[in-house]
Amino acid sequence: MTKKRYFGAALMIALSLIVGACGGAGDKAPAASGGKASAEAAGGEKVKIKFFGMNMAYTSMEEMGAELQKKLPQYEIELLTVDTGTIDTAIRTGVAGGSPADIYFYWPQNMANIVKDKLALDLTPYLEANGGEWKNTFTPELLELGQIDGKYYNVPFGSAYPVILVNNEIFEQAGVAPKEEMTWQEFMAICEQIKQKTSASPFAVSSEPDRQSWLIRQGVMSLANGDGKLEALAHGELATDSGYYEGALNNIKELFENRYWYPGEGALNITRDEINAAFLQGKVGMLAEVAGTALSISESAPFDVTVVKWPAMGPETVLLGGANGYFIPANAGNPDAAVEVLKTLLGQNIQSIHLSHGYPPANRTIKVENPVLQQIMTFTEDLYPFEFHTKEAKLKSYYEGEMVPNYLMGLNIKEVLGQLDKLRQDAFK
Amino acid sequence: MAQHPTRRNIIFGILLLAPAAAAIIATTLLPMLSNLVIAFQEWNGFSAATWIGFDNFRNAFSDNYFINSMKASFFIGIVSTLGAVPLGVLLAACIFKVGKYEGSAYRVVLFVPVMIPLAIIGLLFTFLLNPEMGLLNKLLEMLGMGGLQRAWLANPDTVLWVIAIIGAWRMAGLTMMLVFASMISIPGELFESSRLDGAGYTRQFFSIMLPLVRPSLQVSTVFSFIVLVSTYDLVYIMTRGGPGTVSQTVPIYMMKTAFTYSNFGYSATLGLLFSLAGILAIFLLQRLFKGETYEV
Repeated sequence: MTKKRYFGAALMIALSLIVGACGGAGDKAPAASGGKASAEAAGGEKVKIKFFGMNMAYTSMEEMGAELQKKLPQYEIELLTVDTGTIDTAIRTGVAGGSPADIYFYWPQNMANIVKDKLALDLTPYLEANGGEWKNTFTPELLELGQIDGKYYNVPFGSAYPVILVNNEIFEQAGVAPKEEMTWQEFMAICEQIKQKTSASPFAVSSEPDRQSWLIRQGVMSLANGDGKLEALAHGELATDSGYYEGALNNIKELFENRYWYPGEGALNITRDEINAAFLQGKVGMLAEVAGTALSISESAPFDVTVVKWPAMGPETVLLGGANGYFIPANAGNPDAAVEVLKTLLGQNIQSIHLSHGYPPANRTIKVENPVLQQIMTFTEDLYPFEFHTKEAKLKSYYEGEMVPNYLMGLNIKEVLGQLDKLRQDAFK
Repeated sequence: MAQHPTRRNIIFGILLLAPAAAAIIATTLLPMLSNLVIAFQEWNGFSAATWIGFDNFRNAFSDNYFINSMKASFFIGIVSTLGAVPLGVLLAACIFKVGKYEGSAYRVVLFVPVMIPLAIIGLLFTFLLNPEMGLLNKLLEMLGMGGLQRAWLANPDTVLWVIAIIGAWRMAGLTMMLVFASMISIPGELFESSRLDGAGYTRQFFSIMLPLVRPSLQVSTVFSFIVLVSTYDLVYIMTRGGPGTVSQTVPIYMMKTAFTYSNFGYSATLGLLFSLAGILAIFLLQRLFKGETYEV
């Protein structure tokens, strides 16, 4: 035999091994055994459900997860922890890889880019079945957030919007009193007082894109709202030379350069865990957090905490956000089972556990009686959940994660806003 | 005289090699070919792909993110390699001089960073470099050099240098091990005769050891460069490509393009161009080491 023949034989064997290996999976049933599968697989095996929804920022999650598994013994529910900073990548990796989770955590008001890429399942038939039995359990305003072109793609489990937690002791030392509503100028004056009169840092917000962008997003919304242009902003109609972006960016730059933003230069690389620890250790006067976690943080703090609204760069505060929620991916292995899990999780029993940990649920059949929660829930009157940048992934990534750091690191305003405008025009053309 | 293998032996050899060949084809060759095809397509990872010719390549050459991420990747690759290789050689030369037992202890200690997972190294240094309570800034403060304190990973002037230095620290152990292995194979007579000629250790190092360990040096330089230029996990754990996009390396940008922007075609193009640039750099490195080789 010649060398070529030997090589050919080796290649044939190698290729047949590959083909054999690739074909091997074919005779095995998928984990979540088909679209309309029963709760138990043919061999009496439990159906596996991958629940990528354990947002551990909520202390209730573990208890809720355990209760969920207890209530649905016919399913083997794999509870996966969510990192909200990398959630987009996790979702797209899972869906593109052909092995998505059955349920994903996501914000209903941000579903546009997920729906645009056809990644989410239409939940309308499930919600409207039996005369809207499931639909009627949700607070309508929160459920509407996940509606796109008349179809529901996300179901909410709680409201989510930023608030500011105030360390009353530090405020007292600085000689200032917490106000439920404050303008940006008042906020900056308080920061200066804290810096001058105490050893604490005035303000902390973590550097994860979905967090640090609260500053620019709410700043621009508040400024545009002052001129009655909030809706135009949400529809991507406001060019970046409108002055709102530049005004908000300059305000943020002042906050950063005056070292009001904990821990100073390192503010662009600080994590949520680090700022929360710093707040609880009394190193920070004001902490930016989501409303849902405000009560649990204030209860664990060794000092008195007051919850106040986000400072208004314009005439009044406009709060971004809306709700946290869940969606089922378009190529989920077992959508019926996933819906059943969601119905149980978002039902009265399990959501009561959520409330007992201090988180207001989206299930309207549950009554909230805690006065602090009731106060935080009044902030929802300032909510405006529609934002232009959620329309397209590249625009979202730039607006939330890059624009502010780039400007703070010295890139000129023309370049920073020019790029935003280009992305905005591409997204809305 | 060497015997020709029998046909039976050859077939047996092929059978033994076939599983490994299959694994290599399935995990390296086929993905490479698939990547090559995807690079010429517009594909969001879910819908049908569209053939778009060289559009992705044209976009890449005018994409500032890609150009800057190339710069970041090559900065880390070059600076880290320039740090790791000389440091590794120096460590090998030092260990070569110490006794057998102490030497093996030092080798183990110095090789440990190569064995630690990058994610752990990333986390470790994130704590050490924390601007508020990190060891480095505290140390500077204790030494009365508070003016040098920085937010090392949030400062655009320092972040890439810090990552490159950590990369060098990690890979120096590998160079040390490879070079040391070459050093111990140098015949003792060469050292004895040079000593008789009055050469000290420094002279022996430059005139005997360095020329003779050059093949190992070449291997470790190329290997270190390949590992460091394609850094993903270390940078991601420490900075996620930030602040802004200052430390965004090509692999991070590729991941973002594919899994955040759902543009798999363009991501494949970036990967292809990055690989070509890497191959070119490796070719240049090998040219750099070309010259007379000595055998012992």
